[in-house]
Amino acid sequence: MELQPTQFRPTPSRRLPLAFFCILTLLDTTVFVLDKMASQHASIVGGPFYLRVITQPWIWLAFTLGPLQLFTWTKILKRIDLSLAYPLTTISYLATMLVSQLVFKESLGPRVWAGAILISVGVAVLGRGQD
Amino acid sequence: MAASALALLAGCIACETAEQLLYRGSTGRAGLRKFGEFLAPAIAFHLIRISLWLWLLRRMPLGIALPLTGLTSVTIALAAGWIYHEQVGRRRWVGIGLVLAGFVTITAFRS
Repeated sequence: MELQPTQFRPTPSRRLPLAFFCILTLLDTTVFVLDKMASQHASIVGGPFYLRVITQPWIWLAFTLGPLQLFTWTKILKRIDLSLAYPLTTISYLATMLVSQLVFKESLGPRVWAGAILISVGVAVLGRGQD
Repeated sequence: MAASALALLAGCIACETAEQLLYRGSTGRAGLRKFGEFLAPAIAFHLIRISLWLWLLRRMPLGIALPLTGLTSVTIALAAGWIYHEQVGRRRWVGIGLVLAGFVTITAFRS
């Protein structure tokens, strides 16, 4: 029997690892929100800004989530191609915008949303590579 | 949009571009040179970028600052094309156009 070289490595499945994508989007969004909280709190309490930032629990929580993000991302890349996975990461831009409207009461307006959608689609198209 | 906020944003984008180019440059190198000339500066740019990012978030809503950082994918594509001769094909030009259009949509005419 002749073995094809492809049989020696796991073939990425065509099914989207949806659970991991949800976790990654959640992690990304959480880190951005934590950054904002750390920055905001550090501004309120006064004193040297960066000294205040690194004494915020929020920023340390954000730092600890970093390795988890990387772990989830590599799990996704084990299952599907980078060129398919990368475009989907821009969803976290839009998810974060939604959350910051709710949590920080930011009024973004239709123009910012339209621009953000253009940027997300553009980043996704760029990330899918040449052709 | 305040000039100082835009300057901070430009700093974030420049730092991340430099960081990614250094990671790209580090491939195919080994040992002390890889660390000293590529990885260490990349980590330094990363730390500067986080500092600028946190400062930027004082000035700009997160929901506006975050999508604007997407411009980094354009600067990386152009810089990698220039320095490493990575091809910028037709599809990438379309992506670049879309990101630029979105960036201008958000930043133009904003006081």
